[in-house]
Amino acid sequence: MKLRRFQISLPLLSKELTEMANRRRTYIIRTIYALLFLGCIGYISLDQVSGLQNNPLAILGRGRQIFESMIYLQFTAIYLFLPAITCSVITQEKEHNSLGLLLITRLSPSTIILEKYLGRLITMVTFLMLGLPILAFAYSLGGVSPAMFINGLWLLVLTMFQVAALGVLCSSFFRTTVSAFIASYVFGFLMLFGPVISYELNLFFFGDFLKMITDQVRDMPLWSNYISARRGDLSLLLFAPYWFDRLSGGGGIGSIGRTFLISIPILLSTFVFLIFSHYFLVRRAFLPSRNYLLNLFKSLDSIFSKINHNRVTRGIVLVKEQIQLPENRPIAWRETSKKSLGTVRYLFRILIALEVPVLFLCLFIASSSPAAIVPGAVMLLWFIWGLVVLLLAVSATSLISGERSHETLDVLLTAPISGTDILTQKIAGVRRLSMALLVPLLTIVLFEAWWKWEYAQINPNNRNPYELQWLPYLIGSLLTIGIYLPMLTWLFCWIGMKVKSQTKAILSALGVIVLWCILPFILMFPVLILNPSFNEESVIYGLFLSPASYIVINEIAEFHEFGTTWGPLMINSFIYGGCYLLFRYQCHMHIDKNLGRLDSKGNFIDRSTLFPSGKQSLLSSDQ
Amino acid sequence: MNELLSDTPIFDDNPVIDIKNVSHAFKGHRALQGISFQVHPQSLHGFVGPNGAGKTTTLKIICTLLRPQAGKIEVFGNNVLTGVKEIRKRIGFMPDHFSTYRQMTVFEYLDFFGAAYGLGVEQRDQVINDVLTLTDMDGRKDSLISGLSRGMQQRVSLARVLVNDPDLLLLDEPASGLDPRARIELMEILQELKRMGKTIFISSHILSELAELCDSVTIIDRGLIKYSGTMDGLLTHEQEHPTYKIVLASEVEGLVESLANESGVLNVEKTEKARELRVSFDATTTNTSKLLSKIINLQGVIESFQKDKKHLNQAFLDLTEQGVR
Repeated sequence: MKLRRFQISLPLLSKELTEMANRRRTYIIRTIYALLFLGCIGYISLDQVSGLQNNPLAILGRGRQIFESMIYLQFTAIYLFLPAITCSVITQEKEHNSLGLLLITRLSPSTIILEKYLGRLITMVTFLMLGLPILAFAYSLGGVSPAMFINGLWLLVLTMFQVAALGVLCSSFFRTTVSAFIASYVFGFLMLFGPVISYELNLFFFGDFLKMITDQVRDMPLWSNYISARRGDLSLLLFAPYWFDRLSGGGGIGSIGRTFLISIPILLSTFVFLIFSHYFLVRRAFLPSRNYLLNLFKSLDSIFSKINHNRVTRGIVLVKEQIQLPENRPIAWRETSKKSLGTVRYLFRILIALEVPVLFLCLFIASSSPAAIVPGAVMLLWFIWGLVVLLLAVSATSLISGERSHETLDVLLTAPISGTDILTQKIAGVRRLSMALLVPLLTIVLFEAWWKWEYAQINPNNRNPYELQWLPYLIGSLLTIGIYLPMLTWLFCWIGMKVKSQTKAILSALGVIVLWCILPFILMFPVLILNPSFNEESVIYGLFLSPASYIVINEIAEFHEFGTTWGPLMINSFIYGGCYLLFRYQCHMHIDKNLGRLDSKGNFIDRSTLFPSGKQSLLSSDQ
Repeated sequence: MNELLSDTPIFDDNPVIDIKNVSHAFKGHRALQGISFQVHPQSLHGFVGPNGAGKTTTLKIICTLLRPQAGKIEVFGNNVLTGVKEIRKRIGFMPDHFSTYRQMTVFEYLDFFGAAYGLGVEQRDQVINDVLTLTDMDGRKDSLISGLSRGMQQRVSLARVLVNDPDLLLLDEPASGLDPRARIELMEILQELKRMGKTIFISSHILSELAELCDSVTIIDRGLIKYSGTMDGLLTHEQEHPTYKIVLASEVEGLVESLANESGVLNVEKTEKARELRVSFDATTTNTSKLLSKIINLQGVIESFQKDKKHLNQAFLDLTEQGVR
């Protein structure tokens, strides 16, 4: 009780921290994070000391590399996890209808924003603190100057402030956690890399404009040393890791001053985000339920309709859309005519929105790259894969979890439709979405295959022969796309059945896919720790335990360690073909159990079947 | 253990729902502890209990969403474990939330469920028009569900339950959250459905809400059946000691004490209202005529005389235990 006297008067912050401390998953996630983080650092350190067996003392003075690796990992962690941590900070209150209650207390909107912001910052700080022992270790090895130390920590803290503020802004603006989650990552990406991409492509003369500004800035006394006209530094003003890389080389107090100066834009962006969070908090506190994508498409419909009603076209309709009611597959009908990501008309628009820039960028990249592997196309393909995973995760996990969240599942389950039939009909919309997403993926793959073929004709004696093998590339890519799309659909659908809430299902699906992609590296670490002289090449095919590995290897044509392009292709197709069948089987075989009803034979395995013989728990309320 | 308080529990040979010694638990919490009761054809059966009593669990078991961990349940003679398909064809379940697809029109929503129940296109048109008429929703056929009021959405849910023309309607707290008018209108629709020969099993946590509607009632508390039988049976049990409210034209000194000493009078107390008395008596030794005569003999001028309306709530409170669970 004495402790209460020392409690600071920040009720919301106290509540956030208490809730965080009461959740079991806080400790689980922290442990996983620590293991991953220490694993990655250990992996990097081992890589560095692997050649020093004869002289262990040679490690002294190499602390800088470990320190830099650690700082970059922490940056990655902030960019990866902090949006997810902060995006629910206000939306959670909106979803639980408790924001209104907060707003009528003595807490002002700015206090609410700041206390919530602080609460999530503390969460991230606890993650970053896990790196302190490594920091001390790296510092003790030598090679890290105090200036570098201060610069690194300062930029980490700044990045944390900036990303958390962006997450809070998205949370304050959007109604649901899922929208805020997606928006945090999309806006985060645009904030960090949008200016660079615009600069490189000179979109809307942005490159020219930035060069002009750069010239002006370079004439200013303090800035002239750090801004390079050639590299378009100004386009990376908000990207702290770049500045850590640029400024950590030079030691001394001067470099600290320079870092503080260059951090002004990051701080300013943080303030702008917080001010807008405050602005939107009350204005968007009580938003009605909306489907943003559907609304966007509907407004596009009305715009196109207005444009169409002119003297020339006079509202001509080439393909009349018939409003049809379900014949005998009502669930499939709903998925393909009532959902924004299932309707043909809207999917066609998504396809156009993706395909046109892809075609444009392919042509643009082709005209500017003389190499067999076109880095721009490779990046574009990975970006589209990221988008595909995101869209499939949202749509496939929502199939069942969405019905559950909207409390419409029970009535559907009491209808005399079999579980398999429900699932088959449910998946129809996602299947259409997959077909639409297939087109941009195929465009890039076909472009790259054609490019390799052309390049092989012009330059048959390339240094890396795998770069010219267009046929294995094409078959590998087509097989990957053909297997991965349905595999991801079934995996996400399965996760959607297992996880009760829609938001949690989407976040879990994305978490699972990220974890799966880094799985071989996690598995590799204990092996390397236990046996430092372990020959990595003996388990090289273990790389394919990550679904991302083959996509990366195939794109950059790094088949040297395998000695063939067909072996990895076969192994990868075998593994993920098996996964596809497994996930599909899991969904179909346990459909009634996962949906939460008896199957037609009356089988139902309740997860809480133990009938207690002792005293009943007062805390249980699952009925 | 089952605790049946009904004086005349009805167990007939062809009940619509027949529950025998059913138990179910969730992670250490015993939601149902060997409950037994029956629901008879073409009756309106109330299922009443406080929050957390086990009503929704029972309903979910009846409509094949949950497997009973012990005991036996038959719906239309089909065991819920083996006759799932047959049961689903003959029931209509309305959960305690709307369960509507908000982006659909009323017609589309009903058509969706018509198709889900395997009705043909033409048959669906006819059935939907009929249920819309029954629920007085004809004018709202093309309205988006998201734009309807709470009461209207509840009617849409009820219309959805009727689309497959079920013999048994399972309604989980259908009147919760409705305003008094919508509540009365809903009850009228239910009475109409009962007249049409449907069996209706309706759960609620307010006994008085179902009092005038139901033929029979089951009261459940903490997973145990406290009463199951006819509504009259419940009242008869209470009528051994009926309570009346009497309003006098003016205060009479010593009347309360004198009346309390009369034979057959069990309790006399002044209520919070002026000149109002609450009198309970033993129905076996006295009756209302005798009671009124006694008051008049004691110089009391009676302004009004009515049965205490609190009796149902009191009966409910007497049967259920204290505390929020």
